[in-house]
Amino acid sequence: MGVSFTDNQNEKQKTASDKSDVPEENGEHGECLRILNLVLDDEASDHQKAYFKEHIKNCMPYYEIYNLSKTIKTLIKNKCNDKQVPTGLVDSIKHKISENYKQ
Amino acid sequence: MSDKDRQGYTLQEKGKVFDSEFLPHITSMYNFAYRLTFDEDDAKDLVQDTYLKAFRFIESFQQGTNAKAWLFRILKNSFINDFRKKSKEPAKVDYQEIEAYYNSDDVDKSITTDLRVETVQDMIGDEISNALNSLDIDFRTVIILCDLEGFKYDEMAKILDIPIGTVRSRLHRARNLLKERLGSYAKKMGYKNFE
Repeated sequence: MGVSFTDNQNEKQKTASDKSDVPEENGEHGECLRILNLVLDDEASDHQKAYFKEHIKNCMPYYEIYNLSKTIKTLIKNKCNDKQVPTGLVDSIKHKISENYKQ
Repeated sequence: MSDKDRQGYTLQEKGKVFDSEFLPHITSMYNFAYRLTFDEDDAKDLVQDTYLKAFRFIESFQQGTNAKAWLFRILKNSFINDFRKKSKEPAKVDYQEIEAYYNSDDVDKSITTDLRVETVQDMIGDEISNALNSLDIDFRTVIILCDLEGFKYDEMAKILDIPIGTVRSRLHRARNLLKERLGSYAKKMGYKNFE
């Protein structure tokens, strides 16, 4: 696609939140936040995974953020894919194709 | 010129590719279509339209490549071009609110609610589903593609025609918004861990 992660201006992290229960988003925390979704989505490199794992060992807020994000991701996967394909849809598609492409 | 000479596949071969590579994804396709249109008939039409297009352009599909991503891309484009105007989306988030959110510093914060794992685990499927459905379509779509369908970032970039960096930032924002919606819901419903 010609666009690297580091090229994108959107990747720049903002400065710290003033909420007491949220760690400052600079330094190690900033890096941790930057790779949180990568770890969550299995897109992180081995080095990033190791860094993240080491960081959250001693950082309860990010440990909780990670676990919350992981829980929500799992719940979406398990509870939001529940629509059954209507009866006859496949047959209808095949019928239209055979009508359109009669030999 | 025969069908085989012109397109590489005979009609029979096309049918085999269609059945083996495309049809196995119809449940995912229908669920995606429904999450875009919020209407069973529209979702059905959208899926049918997508599969007819897939058959028509089957010669541009390379066997062994990711058929699901190819189909999702067609469906997404069909939705934008043909269905978006008539879709029955639920109460839309105000456009200015979305723009303001895009342009605010809040989008890059890690979390903005007091939502906890235990609270989310107590929620039933409808609450998660409703929170997902309440997101603006661009945010909703990245969560569906990533969390529901398990696409990788590079596949999502191709499906959505956006750079990978945008996939990442949009996903980050979508997840923060989803947490906010779930947090608001938990608060409103008096879930434990909320004052």
